[in-house]
Amino acid sequence: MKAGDFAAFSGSHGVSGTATLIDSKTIRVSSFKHDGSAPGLDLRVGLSTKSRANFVVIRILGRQSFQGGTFDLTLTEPLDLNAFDVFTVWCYEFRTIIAEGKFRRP
Amino acid sequence: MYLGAATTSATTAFDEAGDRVPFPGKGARQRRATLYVEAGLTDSLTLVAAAPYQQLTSRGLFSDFTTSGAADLDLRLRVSRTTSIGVFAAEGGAFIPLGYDRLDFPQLGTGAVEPVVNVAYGTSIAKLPQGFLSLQLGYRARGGGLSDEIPFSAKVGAFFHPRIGTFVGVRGWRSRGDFRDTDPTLGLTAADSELLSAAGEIYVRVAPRFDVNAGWARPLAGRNGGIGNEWSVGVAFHAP
Repeated sequence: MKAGDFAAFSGSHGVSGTATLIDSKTIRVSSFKHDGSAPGLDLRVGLSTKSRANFVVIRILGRQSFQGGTFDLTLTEPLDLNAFDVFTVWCYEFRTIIAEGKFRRP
Repeated sequence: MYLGAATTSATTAFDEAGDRVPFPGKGARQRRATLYVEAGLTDSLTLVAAAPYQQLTSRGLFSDFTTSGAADLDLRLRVSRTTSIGVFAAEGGAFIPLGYDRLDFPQLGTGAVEPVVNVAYGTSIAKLPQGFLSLQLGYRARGGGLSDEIPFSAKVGAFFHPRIGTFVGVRGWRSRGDFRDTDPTLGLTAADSELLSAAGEIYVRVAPRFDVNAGWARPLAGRNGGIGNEWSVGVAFHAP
């Protein structure tokens, strides 16, 4: 994983967007949409071979709706850039993937 | 005119492959009150309307999510014809949303007007006291991205006591969807599903124009649907 890698994602409940790795402490989420119909959402990263339930949670959204917004996920501790290759929008209430994308080079 | 109430609670479900799995989250509950009216317009033409008030609860791991309100009005015209071998009927109508928010979670319906047609056949069973058999088969065009459905039912009934009837049967619906494409994140009210349930009912003629009934149903098989006992009660009034 390198700065500039990005993961596009889309799924149910009108969820879509793009996550871009800015540096080891920042992921930028752009054009993020959620129609507000899914409860208990969070944003998490991890390796595609691992259970999404064990991914690293980087932001809890709850049921907030978004209409194409852009925001940065800034971490207090640097991420191990070899410890994730997938960005997932996860429903923690029902333990299910809402949308996800695998990081790739621009 | 019939006023009924039913409640279902599920902690297990059929997944997309039809296997029994734990219900997503902690489970789900459905409560429903329905006002059902039949009005004869002519000897062979009947207006049928059912207006449900529903409360749906999806139990997440941390919170419960409940939506309440008027769901879809079921409005139909029925043409029936009595023959020497039984009664044949054909219905046409639609499910009409009564104003709920399409973005509610859980959803009360798809938010779309959904046309429905139905054919039915009923006949008496001479070997049973006041025995009867009724069969129904229909087609419901679904909205909101759902695949169309084929509702069906078969029921046998008899009155072993002059005022007490016992009915048993099966009912449910088949989906025309391809369940390999079903999105599991949509929840059980917003994704394609199909269910076959066994049902039983006791019916008591309290007075010449007044009946009460109590029923039970439970899914036997299905895909992407909850598994739980449905308990129902109702009262019916037959106008002169």
